[in-house]
Parts: sequence; C-alpha cells; structure tokens
Amino acid sequence: MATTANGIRTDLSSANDLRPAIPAPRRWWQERRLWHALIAVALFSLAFGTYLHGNETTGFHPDESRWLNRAHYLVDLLDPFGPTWEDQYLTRGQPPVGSYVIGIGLLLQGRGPETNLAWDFRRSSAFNTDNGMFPLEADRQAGRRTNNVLGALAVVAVFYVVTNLSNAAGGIAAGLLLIANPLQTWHNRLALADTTLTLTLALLALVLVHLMRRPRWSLAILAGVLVGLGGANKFTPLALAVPLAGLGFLMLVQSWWAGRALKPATLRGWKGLPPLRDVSWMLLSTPLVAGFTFVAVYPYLWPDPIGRALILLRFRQQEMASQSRIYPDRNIADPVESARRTWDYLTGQWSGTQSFLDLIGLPAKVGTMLAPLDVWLALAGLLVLGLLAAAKGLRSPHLMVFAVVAVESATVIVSMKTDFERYYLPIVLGNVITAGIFVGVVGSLVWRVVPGRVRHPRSSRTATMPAGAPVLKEHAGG
Amino acid sequence: MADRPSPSQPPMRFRPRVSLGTMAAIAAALLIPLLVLAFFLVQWLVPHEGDDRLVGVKLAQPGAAASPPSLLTADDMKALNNITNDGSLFGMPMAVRVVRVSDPMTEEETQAAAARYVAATPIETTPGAKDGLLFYIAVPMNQPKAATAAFVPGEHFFPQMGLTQERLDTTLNDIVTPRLALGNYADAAKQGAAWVVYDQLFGTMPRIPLTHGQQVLNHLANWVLAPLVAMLTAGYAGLALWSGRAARQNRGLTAAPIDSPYIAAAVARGRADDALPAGAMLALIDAGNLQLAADGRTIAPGPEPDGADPFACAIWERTRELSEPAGGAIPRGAVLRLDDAFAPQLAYLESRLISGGLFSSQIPAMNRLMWGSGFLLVLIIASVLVPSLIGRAAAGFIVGCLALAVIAGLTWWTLHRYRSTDAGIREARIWLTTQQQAALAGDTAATLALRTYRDIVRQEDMVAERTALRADRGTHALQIMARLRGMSVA
Repeated sequence: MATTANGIRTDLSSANDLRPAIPAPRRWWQERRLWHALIAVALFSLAFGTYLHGNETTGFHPDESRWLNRAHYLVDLLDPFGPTWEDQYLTRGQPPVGSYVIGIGLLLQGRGPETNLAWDFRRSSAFNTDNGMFPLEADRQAGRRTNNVLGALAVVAVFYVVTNLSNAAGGIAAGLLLIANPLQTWHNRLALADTTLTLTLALLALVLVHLMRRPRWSLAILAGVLVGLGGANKFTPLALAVPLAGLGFLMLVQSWWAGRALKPATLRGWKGLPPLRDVSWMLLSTPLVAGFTFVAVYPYLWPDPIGRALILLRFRQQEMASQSRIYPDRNIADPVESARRTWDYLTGQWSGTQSFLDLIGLPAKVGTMLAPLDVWLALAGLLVLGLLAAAKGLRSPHLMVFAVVAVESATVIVSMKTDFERYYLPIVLGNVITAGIFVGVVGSLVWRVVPGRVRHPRSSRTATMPAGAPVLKEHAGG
Repeated sequence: MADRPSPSQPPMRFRPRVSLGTMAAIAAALLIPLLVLAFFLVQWLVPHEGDDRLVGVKLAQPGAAASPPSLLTADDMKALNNITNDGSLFGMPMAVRVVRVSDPMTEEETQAAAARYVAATPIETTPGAKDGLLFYIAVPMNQPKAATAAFVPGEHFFPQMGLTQERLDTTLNDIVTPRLALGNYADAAKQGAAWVVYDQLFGTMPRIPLTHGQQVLNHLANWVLAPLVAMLTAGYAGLALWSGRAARQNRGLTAAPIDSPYIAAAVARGRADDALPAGAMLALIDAGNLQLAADGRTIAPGPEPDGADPFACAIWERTRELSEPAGGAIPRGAVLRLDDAFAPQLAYLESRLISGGLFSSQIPAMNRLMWGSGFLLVLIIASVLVPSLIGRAAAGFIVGCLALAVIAGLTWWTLHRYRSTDAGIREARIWLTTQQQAALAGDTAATLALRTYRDIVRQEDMVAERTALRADRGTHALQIMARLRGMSVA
C-alpha cells in the first residue's frame, strides 16, 4: 500500500472514495433508502402475487389475440423496411410499443414471437376460434405474466413517486390503492398493452420528480423518451409534451427575468437567457425528444414522419367513430358526458374501496356506500398537490406531477368517444397518486401532533462533525 | 500551490478560438439539414404508395347476388352482403355471385364463365375503373357437390394490402373447394368471402421488390458500408478510452499540494462547476460575510472576508459587484441566476487546477481530437444512411443509427469527462486526511474547511435527497443552495 510519510494512503485509482468523506456511516436500519427498497419489494411481491393469482380465472379478451399476434413486431424491427411496416391496417391500427413489450415477454419466457392470427372483430367468435385466431394457452399465459410483472413495477414506481412528494406512508397507500383497483388489476391479468401505458406514465412521473429535484439532461431526455414511448403505445401521452414544454417556457422566462437584475451581459447564456443546464431548456426539449422517439420506434412512420403520423391520427378517429357506431350504448356525446361516465364507473364498478371491502367480507351495502371514497381521496389529493405546487413554486416536482396527472386525465376525458374500460386506466393512475399524496400529507400532519411522540434531535444523527463546529445561526434554535 | 495567481489575473491556460459550444452549434447546423434531407429525399426516390387504400369505397353493383335467388337463403344473403360490405369499408370492392348452371364445369370453364360475367356486368367502383373482385360460384342443376368457384380480380384490383393472387388461390383451394365438394356452396361462399376480407386487412403485405439501383445500394450498404461504420465506431470508442486514460495520466506530471477546500472539492468532483460557487456562498454565509434576509432568500454582502480562500474572496467580491445596482442586495428572484455570474471565477480556479497538475492539461487537446474525429464520423454515417434508406438496407440503416447513438454518447461523455489527474486525486486524499486529523484535534479552521468540502462534493445529495448529510444544515441553507443550483429541496 502506498503511503506518505504521515501514513496517509495515496494508492488511489479513482476519486470515488473522496466522496463520502464527512458523514458517519449510519446503522443499516437508519437508512431511509433501504427501508424504501424493502417496502418496494414488499409491494412488488404483493402486487405480482395478486395479479398472478388471477391469471387462470380471468376470461379471454379478444384484444389479447391482437396483441399476441403482433408480438412478431419485435423481431421485425430488425427488418425496418420489410412488409410489416408497410401502410396496412394492423400497422396503422395500434402503435407498436405494446407489441414489442409482449414480444419481449414471450421471448423471455421461451415462447416464440410467431403466435396466432389476428382476431377479426367483424366475424363471429366461432369463425375466429375455428380458424386459428384464438391464442395458444401457453402464449396467453406468458403474455399475462408479462403484464403481471409490469403492473407490479408500476405499483413500485407509484410508491416512489408519492414517497418523494410526501412520505412513505403516502407511497404505501398509493401502491395499495393501485393494487386494490379492480380495473387496473383486471388489465394487469390480460395480455394487452394497457399495463405498459400505466407503467410508462408512472415512470414518467418518477423521472420528472427526480428531474426537478436535480436537473440533468440524462433525465430530461429520459422523460422525453418516455413521453414518446407512451405515445407509441397509446397516442394520448403525446399530449403530455405540451404542458412539459409549456412549463419549460415559463421557467425560461422566469430565468431570463431573474437575470435582468444581475447585469445580464455578464451572465452565462445567450442574450440573458439561462445556459443549457437550466431545467427550462430540458423541459423545452421534451416535445422534440418525444417526437423523435415516437418516430424512431415506429418504422411505419419513417418514409413520411409527419404525413403518416397524421394518417394515424385520422385513422384512430375513424376507428373511434366506428366503435361508436358498433357499440351505441357506449357512445359518448361530449366531454361532459365523458366526465359523468368516468365518475360513475370509478365510484361504482371500478372502485378500489368497494373491491377491497368486498374482498374482506364486509356486507355489500357497506362497499357500495363507501365506493366513492377513492375518488374523493383523489380529488382531495389533487387539491393538496395543487396547494403544494403553489407553495413550492414553478420548479417543484409537485407542479410537474400535478401537470402530468391533470393533463393526462383531461386528455382522456376530452378525447374519449366510446367508454371502453381501458380508457380509464390513466385516470385511475392519477387518482391513486393524488390519493396517496393526500394520505401522506394528512398522515404527516397527524403524526406531528401525536402526543408523547419521541423526537430525536436531528443533529444526533451525525457523528463525525467535531464538537464545537459552527452552525448557521438560523439553525441554532433547532 | 506556491505560485498562486490572483483572481484578477487572466487564466493561464490555452483557450481555443472556437469554443466547444460553437463547434456543437456549427455541427448541428450542418448535420440537421443533412439528416432532414436524407429523410425527405427518400420520399422522392422510392416508389410512392399513392392514395390511401384503406378508405371506404362503394360498389355500383350489389355485394352478393344469386341467380336464381332461391339458391341462397335470406340469412346467407344477408351474411354475404355484410362480408362484402366489410371489404368495401376498407377499400376493397368485392362481389359474390352464386349462379345456377346446367352442367358441371371444370375449373377453367368456371374461370372463363366468371370472366364473361365480369365483362358483361363489371364489378367496379366507377365505370371503367376495373378495380373490383368477383367471387363466382357455379352450382350445377341438382348436383351441388359438383359446384365450382373462381376469383376474378379486375385489372386494377391489386395491390390490396395483404390480399394477393397467391392468397386468393389458397382460399379457393383450402377453404372454398372442400366445402363445395361437400355440397355446402353457401358456406363455401361465406367462408371464402370472409377469408378474402380477412386477408386484405390482416395478411402481411408482400415485400416491395427493389429496383436494380436499389439492389446495388442495398448490397453496398449492408455488406460494405455497415461493417465499415461498425469498425470506425469501434475505433472511435477505443480513441475515447485511450484519450481518457492519457488525460488522467497527464504525461506523468506531478501535482502541487492542495491547500484549499475548493481545490480539493473540484478534484473530487472532477470538474470546476456550479457547485463550487454555491458551496463558497454557503461558507461565506456561515462566516457572516454574506447575509441572508429574514425570509432566507435575499442575499446581501456583509464585511469583506479577511484571510479567506482566494476563491471565496473572489465569489464575495463578485456578489458585492452584482448587488450594487440592485440596492446592495441580491433580490430573491435573482438568486436563481446568481450561479451564472461566476464564470470568470470558475475559469480562474480551473486555470489554477491545470497549472498545479491537479486537472489534466491534456483535456482541451483530447476533446478537440474527439470532436473532430466524431464530426468526421458522423458525416460518414450520414452518407451511409442515405443509400441505406434508398436501398432499403436494414443492416446499413440499423448499424448507422446505432453508430450515431454511440458517437452521441461518447461525445456527451467527452464533454462531461472527469478532469482530475491521478496525481491530483492523490493530493486530494492527502488534503482530506490531513484536515480530518486536524479537525479531530479541535482545529476549527479544518472543521470549516471539511464542511465546505462536503457542501460542494455532496451538494446534489444534500439538496435532492433526504440524507443525514444535511443534518447540520438548516432549511434556509438548503433552499439557498437549491435556488443557486436550480434544484428542488427534497
């Protein structure tokens, strides 16, 4: 070992061990991150077990045939100029990310990407079942297990989002609410692409929280990529690029305005604007990165990115209109009707509270009575999140998550023309996040007033700062 | 650090006339139009797909008909009309005709009879369009098991997405004929028509044949250019690794001893960045040389620091300069941009680090090397992507895109490269241990220096994570640090 005359080690190959120089090592049970990781593992296990348990008993959904059929898109990515990516019904019908995910899931479980023929909804179930459109059971279960894992990961992501914005109690509550929600649970037990969307949105919220905590281009690009991937799964997340860029623009103006008092000519940056490391530029890049990702992962768009993207949007509108004709009872006339149905479903058939109360064997009457609780909690949480965002300012993670939740839910409500259950999933995700924040914030307020609670002095948790070290005056009083 | 230049002296290091940022802007200005051209040029060079083939069409004739009508039940007729209507909704005009004939017909005779039918009664969306498909079934009198069938596509019927002549033949042989042999001509008509509309929507389209020119480009891109790009990119990665190691070794030069927490922290972080002024301001606030207003957000200069570190003095001086026009204090809003005002002080500190052998003097040269070769490589890749797109060469295109991603990553890494030398890291370790020993012996100056060092080295963790690091820091200190760095307190 190389040392100086005073016995100091000098045999360093990197500077990594210069970093944790000051704080004393903490006991392992004092590590907040460790506890959070343990809770995350517990939530993951609970969620995965819950979802996996119901795979066999969940009925077949014809859309599973379509998503399993398109699993071959994953390998067709290696042939981006091949027939799969020509202008045709299936390629237009759904963006491909959900198919890639199913394809990865099948490959990881030893199933090939070539599966059943695509279900034709125009024909009878008998025609489809007799002619190879019904998926093999092994493929179907593999696809469902894929979503079991993704759904459990979404629960973990939600836990971390809410824990970051409030505390672990809120995070646990949000995770449990997501697990308890029957709509989400049902979709997590089907081989569809909706679980991927839920996970993408939850990860986006988590990335935005960390981006606002500590702005980095790597996270900003990741956020843009997630928006793009979300769009290349179910279109509506692309709308999220607008508020993100809008908030970025506001921050840019804020930075420019802030620089006016400081002789702008002497500041880094062009014409008084902040330099590129400012988070405003990072958020402004979101639409570009999202758009690039959307095109990059979807070879169908390559020959004419803008023209074909417009074709896709028009085609989706036609499909919505067609669904509306085929299912007149599910037809939605306007956003008011859409909001009303959302309320009805989420406070009734798809209520997590009711589902949980039924599960533990309480009388159905109690479940029915308390069914709207999750939505009320979510609304209260949205209010709390809004207040926190207002208090913490433009550059707070609270505002970012508020924007994501509000815009995604509003986009779904405004654009919904037919009330298929899966369309409510992003709203459910927003609900559990805000409800968790409400639980966390209220829980923390209650905790503060608990009589007789042992309060550890904060300074006792650091050992290495020598006695007599100066402290800021503002901190002297504790 | 015996020979210490004063903060007012110009930095003693080589500065290229064109900064990296300017080079990046130039590169972007050159490359973006090139890539845009590469994408949009393709539309002119490859066969265009024409009108939207999934738009609904209307057939002038009924979708299904039987002659005599009694050949099909009302339910069969309704089902057949639904199927042909499904085809029309997605741009495929199709008609099904079930016709009574006197005697059994051969396949050729059925085909000829169907062709005559089309000639007499065209199946098309507009007169003369010849864009329809006839599904013709001939049922001999009293011999339903001898029925025969034929498909007659119009001259302009194809392309119909997944429906090809081969698929029509397969449907005829595998679906229709077996049912006809059983005498189920109505079922044969329904199943056959259902498979035709199925194949049109759900069958994979045939691969578009390449022209001779495209074939040449395809082979060139896949078999010559793609391996070449892969090799060049691997070489670029090797160059990046070599340049990183060479920069760290700094030609074997020794490093000067460290006597400042800012220098030590810069070495530990590997760069002289915004954490340093923020840490210095916090130290100045601790020492009372900068003062926080009651709200904890407005900063005003206090008494001039006496005997403090030159870097801290330079930060204090700059803060004082900036506060003068604003009435002697930095307003709370302006704190957001305060960190942008310390570029000269950071440049000065960096020059000290380089002249002391703590930061590598090789970095600018290495960066220029990386940027220059990266730029050249990107131009080469762009010239590979164009023939790959035109020649529909998957390998060329995928390798080109991956190479671009690798080069972008390596260039990013180059910009954020760790600048400390191995010798500098050794000196930082010595400084750190010495200070820790002194602090434990009750030296207050060493304690303060260590705290400043910690505030800089672990700044992001202190602000963005709820860790024990921040236990001796109050809310205002964290908020000031967050505000200066554009972060958000966890």
